[in-house]
Amino acid sequence: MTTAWFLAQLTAEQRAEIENYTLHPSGWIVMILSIGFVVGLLTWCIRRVMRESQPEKLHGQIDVDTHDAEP
Amino acid sequence: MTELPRPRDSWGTRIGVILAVTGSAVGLGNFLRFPGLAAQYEGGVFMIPYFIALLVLGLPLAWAEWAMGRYGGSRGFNSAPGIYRVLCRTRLAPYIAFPCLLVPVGIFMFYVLIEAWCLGYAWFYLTGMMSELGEQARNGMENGLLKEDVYTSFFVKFIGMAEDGASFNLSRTSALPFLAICFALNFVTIYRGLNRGIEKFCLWAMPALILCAILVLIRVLTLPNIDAGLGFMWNMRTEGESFTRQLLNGKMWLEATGQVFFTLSVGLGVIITYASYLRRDDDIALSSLTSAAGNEFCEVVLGGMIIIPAAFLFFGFGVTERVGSSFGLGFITLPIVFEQMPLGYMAGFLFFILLFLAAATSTLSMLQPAIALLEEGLGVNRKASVTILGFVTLVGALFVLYFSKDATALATFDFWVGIFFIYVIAMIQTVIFGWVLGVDKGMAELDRGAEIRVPRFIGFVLKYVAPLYLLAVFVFWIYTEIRKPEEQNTLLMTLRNPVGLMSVGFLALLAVFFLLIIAQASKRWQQLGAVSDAEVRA
Repeated sequence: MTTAWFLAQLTAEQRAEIENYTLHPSGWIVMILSIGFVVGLLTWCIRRVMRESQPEKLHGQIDVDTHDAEP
Repeated sequence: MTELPRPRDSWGTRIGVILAVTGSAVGLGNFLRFPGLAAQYEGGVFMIPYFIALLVLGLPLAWAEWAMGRYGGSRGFNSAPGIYRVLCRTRLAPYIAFPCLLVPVGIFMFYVLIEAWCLGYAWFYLTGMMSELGEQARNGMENGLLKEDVYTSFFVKFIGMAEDGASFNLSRTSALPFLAICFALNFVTIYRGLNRGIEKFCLWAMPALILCAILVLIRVLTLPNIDAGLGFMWNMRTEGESFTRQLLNGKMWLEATGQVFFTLSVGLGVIITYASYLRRDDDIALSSLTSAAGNEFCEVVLGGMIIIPAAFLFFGFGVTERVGSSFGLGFITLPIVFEQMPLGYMAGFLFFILLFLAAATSTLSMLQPAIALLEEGLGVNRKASVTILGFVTLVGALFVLYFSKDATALATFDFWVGIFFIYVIAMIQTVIFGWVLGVDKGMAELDRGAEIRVPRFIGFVLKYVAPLYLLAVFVFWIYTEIRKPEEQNTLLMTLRNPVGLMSVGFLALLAVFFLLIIAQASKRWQQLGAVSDAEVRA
């Protein structure tokens, strides 16, 4: 199937409607802001969830205070 | 501390809970209703009330529901009646919670059918039946356009809209086998429990859903002249004075608020149950926000970029006449679009699989609130509770399937449990959070274990703004429903149509069934001392 085949399915009026129509600057702004906000929010949330889900720091022997030196 | 003698389920991982809640929220509305509304209301202008409603109503309500759920869960209750009992400390409170069971179970009864339709269409794409249909439509081409009647009559026959009982057949295009598969999938998964069933299913189903959506999105975005389609979806089509008039369109604000409200699954009775299985110090603030953000990603990014831009390329501005009905858009308009699109059968298959997964992750969540009540209210094990619920929902689903003429039973169920009682639950919950539990206590609950700090003004929003906002939207909705012409008026249909009346009667019986279980549960909790212990801890 080619592009030409797919365009041939449209009436002349519909084709003209579509060819004369485009994404305006206002559309670009709304689209970028809407998608940017949602993608930004989701990315921020996932990063926070991943960071907070890291296992807690495991303490090595050197960190453990045995209080041996105390009298 | 008296623990109710029953097996207590719990979540396995945090990602699992987030995906389960996101899966519950993501449904057909994300991919069909939202883009339809945006196209109907001048594309870009719609996004202004939509995002305001999300920030002012949607997110605060979700936070409140998560907080109340975990509050009740940490005091030993997972069912909404038990949680309300702890929150309100009155004997009547559990009875007020009956819509939290009626709504999800009632919605399940018709949503599982829609899930079956999606699975059926995916199967038809896979087995070549849709290409046969395409051939018929091409043979009857008029003015260079595919014969639409072929798709309409196929859908009408598939869902049995012509007459009652028409769906009860075993022809090649019967919906019955798909309904059986969906029922089995739901009940096998729910029987396996929260962690091994719902969570495991959502852990693979949600990424699979997003993958399908991205593949379809790539196909759509690589269509010739796609910027025209994107323009139709996102352009602010009015300027100057007419833009202001459009922005002040009350109906658009109502629709945007309703969409936000339904898409986040708040007021459904599901989140409160899901959150009750969290531990006392688990984070809910960030998890709730992540689930909402995941849902918005599916709605705005994936839902907003696929069907309307693609449909515009094939129907031009005529697409606005097709967005009023989500079913018409999804099951008649889109197959015509896929038929004319290069690689359209593959895109069609992926799209209906994605709708099926979206519906399946939602229906799974709808059973858990009733399972929780049966387990902790009657003390029965999971096997028995799943069996009881399986019987009840099967009767309901067969009722909706049988009375399929003009989809009257489905429309009546959707009107009462899919819209009316959801508003009722949301209003009850905002009042409980803001006025009964109290904002200070509620916000303290939200802050416990929180990994982000929820802004303090959310308390004010939940106490004053949200109940009034909800009430205004609810009253406006009732007003517009009453003023609708007779043929579209569901309220009148309920009163005048025998099937509408029977559907309301069926829902009333279901409500009585849950009220009786709540009565039994309340007695049991009192006898076991579970309520007094929980009140001490409260």
